[in-house]
Amino acid sequence: MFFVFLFLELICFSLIVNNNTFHRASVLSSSNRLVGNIYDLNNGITEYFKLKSINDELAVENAVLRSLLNESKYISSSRKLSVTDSVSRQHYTYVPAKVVNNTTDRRSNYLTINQGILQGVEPEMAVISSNGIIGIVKDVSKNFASVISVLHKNSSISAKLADTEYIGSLVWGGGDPKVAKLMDIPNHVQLAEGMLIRTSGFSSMFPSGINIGTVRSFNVAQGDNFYSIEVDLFTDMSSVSMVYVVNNLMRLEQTELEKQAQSDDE
Amino acid sequence: MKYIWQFALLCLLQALIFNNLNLGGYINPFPYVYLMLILPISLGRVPILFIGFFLGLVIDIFSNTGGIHAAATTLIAFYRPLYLKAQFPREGYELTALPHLKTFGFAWFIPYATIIVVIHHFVLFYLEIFRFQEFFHTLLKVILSSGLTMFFILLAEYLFVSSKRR
Repeated sequence: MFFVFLFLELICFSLIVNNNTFHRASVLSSSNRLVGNIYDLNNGITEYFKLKSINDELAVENAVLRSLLNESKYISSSRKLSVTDSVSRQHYTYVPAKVVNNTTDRRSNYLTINQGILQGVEPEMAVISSNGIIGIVKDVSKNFASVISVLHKNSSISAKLADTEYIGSLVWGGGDPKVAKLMDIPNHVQLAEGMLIRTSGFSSMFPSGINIGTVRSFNVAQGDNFYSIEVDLFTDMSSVSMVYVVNNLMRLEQTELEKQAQSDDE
Repeated sequence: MKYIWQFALLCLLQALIFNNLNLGGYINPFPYVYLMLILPISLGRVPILFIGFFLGLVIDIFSNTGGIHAAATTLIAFYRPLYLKAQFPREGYELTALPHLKTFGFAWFIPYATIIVVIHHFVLFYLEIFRFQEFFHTLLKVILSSGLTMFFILLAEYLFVSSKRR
């Protein structure tokens, strides 16, 4: 009886340890098909209550995108040239997805989205919304994926103070889902409240220049060489519904190269 | 067999409703432990352990938490028979008795439920955070969440357990 107990607890702990290793496709997660479908069904019902804010969000985004179209630009030259653009190759593609499950009140939060392998979603891809960053894909099944939220105790995202070249990492200290922390900014940098923070593009996941948030407050602990900075996140993680999965077409190339550089060190 | 339905119902309620309750980041109730409280007293210890394990595992799958719920429910499944034995009433348990509020009364049910819920939440929250850095923050979460879970359990006891069924 006691051994049965010990045996079951051992299974539990091996599951916990497995779950903490980052890139393991585990069956026991909400990207699992049955669980995904239950969440999808539930989302089908609750979605109606959020339609208005979703519409607003999409409309704003449409407007922004429309302003980027060639049609909405005034061509000042009367001469027209047909140019095949060989300079700018496609670097990122985006898969739109709907959030079907989301938590923000745990110490380690996850989202489940309704796109998976069949739609080209793979582990380690970044997930963003129209406002800012959301997280990183953990596990995928055919039609669903679970996403490690920015609000996760192991989440660490390379971020840059806009208009400077200083890089830090964005982590979450628990509690308020609207506030994260930016670490590793040296204390000689001139900071001001309201400074913009964006992704650095140093990781192979997030494109550079995605908005993250603004500096809310900052201080330097006695004897510390780095600021501790509180960041107001742009994304309201508790109400995300439409997101985009970012597919970095050159990710493999970058990670292979970096891996090689690291193994050369050893 | 009604326990299978209760198992499924409690898991779904937990996954779809209680997991989405967002009360200031401090309070996460887990009323699914109710199932562990109301299993028949006559049930063997090994079956209880397995029920606890699978209940936790299902919740883990729904909330992407690895095995922390399973670890906590297995622990209370282990502890429950020990508690019931220690609290043996003078006249003994009736073999068919179900551990409900109306069967044994307030003075018996409240400590019984509170101890099991608090142990469960304590193990759960400390496994979730897996470090002692935020010790008091986590302790506060344990206390507040246990309170709310107890509230839901008592609510269920009053609403769904008819006194006829003992």
